Amino acid sequence: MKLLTKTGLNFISASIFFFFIGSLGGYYFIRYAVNKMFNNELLEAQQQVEQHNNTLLTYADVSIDTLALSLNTEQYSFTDTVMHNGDGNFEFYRKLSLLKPINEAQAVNYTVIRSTAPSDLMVMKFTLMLTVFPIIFFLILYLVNRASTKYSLTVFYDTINKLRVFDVNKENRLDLMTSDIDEFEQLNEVFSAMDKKIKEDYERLKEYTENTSHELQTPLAIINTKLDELIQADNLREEQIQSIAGLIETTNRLSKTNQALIFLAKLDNRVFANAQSVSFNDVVQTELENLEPLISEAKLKVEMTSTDRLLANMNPSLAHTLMQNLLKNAIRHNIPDGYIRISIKQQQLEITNSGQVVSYEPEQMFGRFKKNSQHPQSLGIGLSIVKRICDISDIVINYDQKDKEHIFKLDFSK
Amino acid sequence: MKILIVEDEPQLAQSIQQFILSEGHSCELADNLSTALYLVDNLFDIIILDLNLPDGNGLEVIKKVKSKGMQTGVIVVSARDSLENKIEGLELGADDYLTKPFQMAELNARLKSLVRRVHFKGEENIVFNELEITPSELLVKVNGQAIDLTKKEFDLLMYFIANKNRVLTKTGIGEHMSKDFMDYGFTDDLIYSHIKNLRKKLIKAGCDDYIKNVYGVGYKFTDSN
Repeated sequence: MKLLTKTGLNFISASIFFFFIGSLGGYYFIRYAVNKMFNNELLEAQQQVEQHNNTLLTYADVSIDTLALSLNTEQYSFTDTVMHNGDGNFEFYRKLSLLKPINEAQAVNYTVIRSTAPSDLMVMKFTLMLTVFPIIFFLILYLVNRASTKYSLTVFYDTINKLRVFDVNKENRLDLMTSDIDEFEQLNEVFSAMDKKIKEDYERLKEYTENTSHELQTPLAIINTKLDELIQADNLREEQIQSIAGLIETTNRLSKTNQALIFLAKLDNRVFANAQSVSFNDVVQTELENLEPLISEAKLKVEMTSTDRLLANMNPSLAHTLMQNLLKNAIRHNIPDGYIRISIKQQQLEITNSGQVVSYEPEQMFGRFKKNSQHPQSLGIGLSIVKRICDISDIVINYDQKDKEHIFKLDFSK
Repeated sequence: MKILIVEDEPQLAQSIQQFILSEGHSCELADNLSTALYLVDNLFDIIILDLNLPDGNGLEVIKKVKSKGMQTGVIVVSARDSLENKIEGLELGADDYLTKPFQMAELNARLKSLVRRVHFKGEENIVFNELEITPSELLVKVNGQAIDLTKKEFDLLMYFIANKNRVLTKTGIGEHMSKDFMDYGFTDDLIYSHIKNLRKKLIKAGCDDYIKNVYGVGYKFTDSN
């Protein structure tokens, strides 16, 4: 629930509750005041009648009875009563009954009644006013308040939106709006400082990785050439050749890993700008030709269906690297006499291959150095490169496993 | 052939020098920029150039050579492997760009191809017993009969011929074959199939089997046993 909605709802429900109590209270208060006024008038009427013996009053009816009753003091009571009027309707009256002792055995009873109809109408009107005006008033207050809060919150929403698209790889600073609200200003300051710190740290880390990898290149070159010199010698014994072969193999792994890391660092640094329109139909075709020896070696059946030309705006060599890695993956993790199905649609490319059931979670598939122990030659870095290329080229890649089928789906519609 | 090696890493420079001498060329060594700039006043056929030198950028050497209008081939050997660096080097007039770490066989293949381009304008035919190759036309003949090779197979054959009588590691061959694209691991079986196909085609055309398997290491292209 949005903050505005939440506070708005609270405000409204609290208002309704208090208006209700308030207007109820107001109604009873007015009622009380009006009754008080009536009581006074009724008493006054009684006194007039008693003093002047005059029952002809314009505003109230008085009846006098003499009762056989022994009373010590005067007794009176006020009640509301309903009576029929001439038209057959009911009418509300305020009634005073006053018992006054005349002697020890007799008392006189004054009954004074007065219609409350005119004042009831007034009470209703007052109550109505007491309810309606505050509601209008609070409604206006609420709307004004809402608008002003919304305006103040724009900074907050702006910050959230900018944080949502925050990418540690992007060069530009988090450019947050300034606010005249201290809390938001503080929040933005904290975020800006955090942004700066994260990027600096990340930059340093990248630099470190890159420098390390580059520094490794020359020593690796030396080891390579020295090993090459060694292996060219004619008088080597079989075990020596095997040892050197092992060394070459290991150095090779080391230098490939290093190259892969440098390549990933370059992807992170977005070195591969140079985007142009690339036809994936052609890329797939070329890569299939390149990999043909491997495919026939593994006795795989390749089926390619394309309903459309799939064009993407990206660096061409990245497109090739992407498809090559995916196809190699599909070849390597296949079974003998298996198949690879490639389907190209308008904004979608799917590579399905037969294979064995693996226990990875789909999300783990693209992790670095995640590898299947059955393939020692694999560095476990190919799919992580695939993922990175997809990320920087705005391609959404998904992996799925159905029974013994592995499916990589690339979505270009972003 | 007179070759200048500009490389500040003594171990690497020494290896390259030994290799070049073993190939029958003469060579000189410079381990910093000023020596290199001084030495290029003499005429060299080919310069093998490292870019990261202690006293400056090796690209200066290319600038000087090109400004004098010398017919010198330049192969840049650098740990800088970004596309921009490559383009910069090639635009200045370098003939080839090799990134460290590299295989000696690769440097050799590039060197030979450069020699052909600089001195024979690519017109030279390479003859190895019954094999005859015309690089400019991607043409391979066995006993005068042309055979049909794929681009990769031709590339592979050229690499073997350039490095004949040397043990070529699977790694080196793999790197040579996949130089166009990023390619990590998993090349051995691909190399194996390419070599198998090439071998089949050559033998079928009546060529001797010159591609010898060096167990556990790689291959050797040789006509001696």
